Amino acid sequence: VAALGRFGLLAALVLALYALVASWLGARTRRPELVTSAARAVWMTAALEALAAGVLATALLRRDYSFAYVVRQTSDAQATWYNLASFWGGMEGSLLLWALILSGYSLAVIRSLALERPRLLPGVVAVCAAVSAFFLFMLTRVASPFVAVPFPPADGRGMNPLLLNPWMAIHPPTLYLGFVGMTVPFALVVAALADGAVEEAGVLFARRWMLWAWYCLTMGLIFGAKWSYVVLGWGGYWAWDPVENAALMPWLVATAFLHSVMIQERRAMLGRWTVLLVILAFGLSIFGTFLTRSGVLSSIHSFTQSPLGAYFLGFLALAMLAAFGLVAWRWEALRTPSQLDAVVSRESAFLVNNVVFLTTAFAVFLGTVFPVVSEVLTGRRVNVGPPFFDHIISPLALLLLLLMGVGPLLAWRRASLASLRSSLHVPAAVGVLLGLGLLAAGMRAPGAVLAFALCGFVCGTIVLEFVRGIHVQQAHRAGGVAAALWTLVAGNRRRYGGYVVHLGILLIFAGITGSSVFSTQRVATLRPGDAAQVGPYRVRFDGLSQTTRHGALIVTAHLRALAGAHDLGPLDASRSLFLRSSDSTTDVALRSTAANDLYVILAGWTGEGEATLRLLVNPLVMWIWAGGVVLTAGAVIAMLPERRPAKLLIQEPAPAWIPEGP
Amino acid sequence: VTPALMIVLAAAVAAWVLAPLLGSAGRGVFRRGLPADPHDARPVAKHDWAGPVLDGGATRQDASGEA
Repeated sequence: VAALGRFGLLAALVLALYALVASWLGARTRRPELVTSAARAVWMTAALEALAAGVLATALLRRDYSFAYVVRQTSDAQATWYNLASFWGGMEGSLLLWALILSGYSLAVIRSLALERPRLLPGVVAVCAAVSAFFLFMLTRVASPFVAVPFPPADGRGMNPLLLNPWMAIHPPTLYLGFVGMTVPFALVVAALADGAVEEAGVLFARRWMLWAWYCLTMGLIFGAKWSYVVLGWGGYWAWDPVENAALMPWLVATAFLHSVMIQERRAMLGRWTVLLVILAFGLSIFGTFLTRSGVLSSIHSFTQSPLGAYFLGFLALAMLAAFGLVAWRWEALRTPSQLDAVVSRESAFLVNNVVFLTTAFAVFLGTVFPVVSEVLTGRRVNVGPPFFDHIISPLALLLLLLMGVGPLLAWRRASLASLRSSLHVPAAVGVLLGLGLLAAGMRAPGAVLAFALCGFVCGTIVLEFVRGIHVQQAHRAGGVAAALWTLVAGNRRRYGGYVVHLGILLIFAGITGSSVFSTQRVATLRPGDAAQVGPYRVRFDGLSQTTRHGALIVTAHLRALAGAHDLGPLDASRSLFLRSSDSTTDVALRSTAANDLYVILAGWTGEGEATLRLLVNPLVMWIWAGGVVLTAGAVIAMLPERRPAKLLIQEPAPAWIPEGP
Repeated sequence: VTPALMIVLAAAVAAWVLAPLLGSAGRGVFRRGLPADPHDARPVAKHDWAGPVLDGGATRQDASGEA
């Protein structure tokens, strides 16, 4: 059966290479049948990858230890659900998932281009096929998931125990959807540059694909933070780990793009800039993969380390060289006619926003690669810790927050200071009152007061925007507030969906501020019956117990949380020791409320039944997860297709050119 | 079984992918050919960000006093 998987990948590689050559030839010689044949090859590439994925998934579920990958990733003791999740738990499987997702995206974009923008089809097929071919080359020549074991063992080794968590099962696929999704906008832009249809064609069409990729990347980051919070047992959710940074960088650039593309759309400005952002976002997504796989930086993700890094670096260099070469070739054609009309305008707010996003991405990049650069230059590896990132990123994040509040109040082209002042009254009052209220309540951290005041200001702006919009709707047609709100949002989903996304970001920002500035912790060694106070909570230790499950020895500290006279119920903090691999994982005791999280880690124990506990109170962490939910709602609103037909810029629509799919 | 299956699969895939190149039957899969004029497939739709455009680039929201 492994041979069938190997055949599937090899045939898919041949087809991807064929699609690349056929689409390129088809575009050059203007022979549509060649491009149709190339599009069919992409369909078949996807089908053969699905066949290979099916073979691997079946082997994992059946625990077929004749596959080396199955031996490494599963064991008899491992739950079936995790055997399936182990598909992306290791290097080879995660590469196959990457290739499979890319094929899914390729098919979707081919389908939509054939209807809407046929001229870009050959270029997009070529780029998607080239990226597919690279991953299939890795899967067939460098990291095959179908390597056979000559003498199959009776049992497998099982996945890294840290990965045995539901959040970890969902975090990688979501992140991959985001990372791989960056390929589509890149392909569209490269196709537009190659074709010469550079004015708006590629970039504006790329927006909706980038929005989807951005959303997936955001959720991937949030799921990863949740996994880090509940499994790694260090009390936090973000550690400025190189691989976390690797996902944050394309996210920052993609966010900058989603804002700058609005200026291009509305005001025909920043043509070159937006194209460069799309290329940069794709490059950073591959760079992130390189960081995860290469092992050049020590990271929590070191379980995926391998010698694959050099291939990724080579591919990245080639892709960037080609893309930037195309930009240089079309540099004059990319010039957009409009200029900035006034300093005080929405365009300039977006421009500053873009500069800040890029500066933030550059700071993260610098901090991430600094150990490697310092080692190359001085022979000594100098690590840059979280304080560097906190000091650099915090002021930039506050500046972005301010822009998030001011931007929507500014008019396009030119905003008068008088109208800006009148618009600022209410949101500024909300922000100032919130700040003063927090100071009066005893909050003494100036950075946090400023951050919360800015959150209040931005929230005031967003509410004001909705209220004004509802008033305009009610002036046009009679009806209640709910009906007006519905019409308002339905009539302009991108704008109001964007505001809801901003609300989600605000919640996340407030949660990060609260938990990073006001977290309290203590370490206590307790005998059964003893209690320790942390923040508003008293935690009583009731004793230890020991069990074995799925090949792990689990030691559990039974606790009871109390707040004053209130009994908040039992809590269990445990540690699992995996007998076979000598790994250990932590299951924290967690009690979450909107105000704070009580978070208890079992740090150690003695034979006499004493337990050493690390107790933390992390304020507002739940706001981060709630922000993810609100952000999802906003993204859904913004991504839903507009109901009214889009206006035509030209009278004759492009001819439909539909290669038949299966 | 596997080698035979692979040969049949490879043949079927190759036939389907190459069909458009094999004579006029293959060309029939297009509703229309590639646009000949580089200008006839320019963007057909412009999605606006802030509502319908009135005169001078102002929007309905702009006219109502909003940004």
